[in-house]
Amino acid sequence: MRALVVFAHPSGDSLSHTLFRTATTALAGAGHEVVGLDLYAEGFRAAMSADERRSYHLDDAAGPAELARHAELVRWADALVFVYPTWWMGLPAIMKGWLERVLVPGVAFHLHPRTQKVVSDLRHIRRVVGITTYGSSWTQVKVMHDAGRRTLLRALRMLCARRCRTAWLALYSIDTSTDDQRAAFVTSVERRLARL
Amino acid sequence: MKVLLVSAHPLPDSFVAAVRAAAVSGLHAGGHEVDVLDLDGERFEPCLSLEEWRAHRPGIAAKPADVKAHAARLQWAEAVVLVYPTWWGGQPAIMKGWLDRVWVEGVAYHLPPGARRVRPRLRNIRHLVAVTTHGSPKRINAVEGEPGKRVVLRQMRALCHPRARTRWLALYGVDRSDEAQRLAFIRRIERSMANLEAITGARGRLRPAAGRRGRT
Repeated sequence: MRALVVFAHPSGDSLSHTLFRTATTALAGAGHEVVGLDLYAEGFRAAMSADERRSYHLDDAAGPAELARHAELVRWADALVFVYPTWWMGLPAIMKGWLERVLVPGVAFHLHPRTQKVVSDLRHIRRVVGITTYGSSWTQVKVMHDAGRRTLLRALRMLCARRCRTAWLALYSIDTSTDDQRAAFVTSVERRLARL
Repeated sequence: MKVLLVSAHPLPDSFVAAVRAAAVSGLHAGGHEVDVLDLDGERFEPCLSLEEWRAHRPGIAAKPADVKAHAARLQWAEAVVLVYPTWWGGQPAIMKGWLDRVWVEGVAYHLPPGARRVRPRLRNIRHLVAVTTHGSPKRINAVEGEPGKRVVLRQMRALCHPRARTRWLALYGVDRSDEAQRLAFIRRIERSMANLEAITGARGRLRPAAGRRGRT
């Protein structure tokens, strides 16, 4: 498969970064083509600019060059893998901004000219994988309804291939987790992605 | 009441900006003291930096100046009103960044070392209202699970006063709406904001007479 791994964490020596490296290595080791996007390292801008918003529904994609490159990667990929720390029960702002700025009309969907209904352009995506860490426990995450998981496995999944499969690999209660638990989680991510 | 109105939209001539203007005028009409925080207009930086991530634990003292200023505005408020377009199911990145960077340890909650649960710290906030627009219809948002709604009504709510009241004021299907529907929503928001206590109060079902019902 062709996997695009999108990663968001400011620190190079965080557990999230280890997970990012593990994910890309495991996917490449299993014979998949892999491209990793480290949003913080690229200095990706999170907020959509006024110009981008004005041309949001227009066809002329005369936006910043990095957006065209990212859009091309989305068209190329058939698997999207997201690696991030859960903050405020969801994606870090920089990754939420990636969805908003890259997955725009003309890339992820378009509005039907007559009915104005959303028509997907992401039907080539056959896998969506989320890899994340939570400060909260599993129970708390469920009570709070897990906004990040809903964003990726429902809102984004809805536009992907009809038989697109999803996977959610998460470590809960990271604040009170032990080194062994974290290492075991990294190993499980490695194993799971090797048989994507 | 002291109201912090937080809004997100890159364009000053957008529908969301019109909704925000209606909300502000409604709040003034209701005799409230309003602090308008226009995240795009103030060029808020949404990305949590490496330094902030490293200093996550020590609390507010180690935060950058802009975060301290935003924290003070949050701690001043008795009501928080969010005005934003729902993008990809939730708050725009700039508003998500406001949560990531300002609603942190030492401001919004306290997490003692080794503890499993956070202790809420925003007891000053007794009313929490979200005013939002959805491009897609209610049905699609229901299938998506409304992640943005959960963040406001569950998570933010959990860090406010234990008896804080919430209200969700949403216009669904904006992509296919007509002008009359949008104007009706603007008028509904203005009326709702003038009656802020009533719409979030114990008898929170008290609705403006002619507004379209946004069931929650």
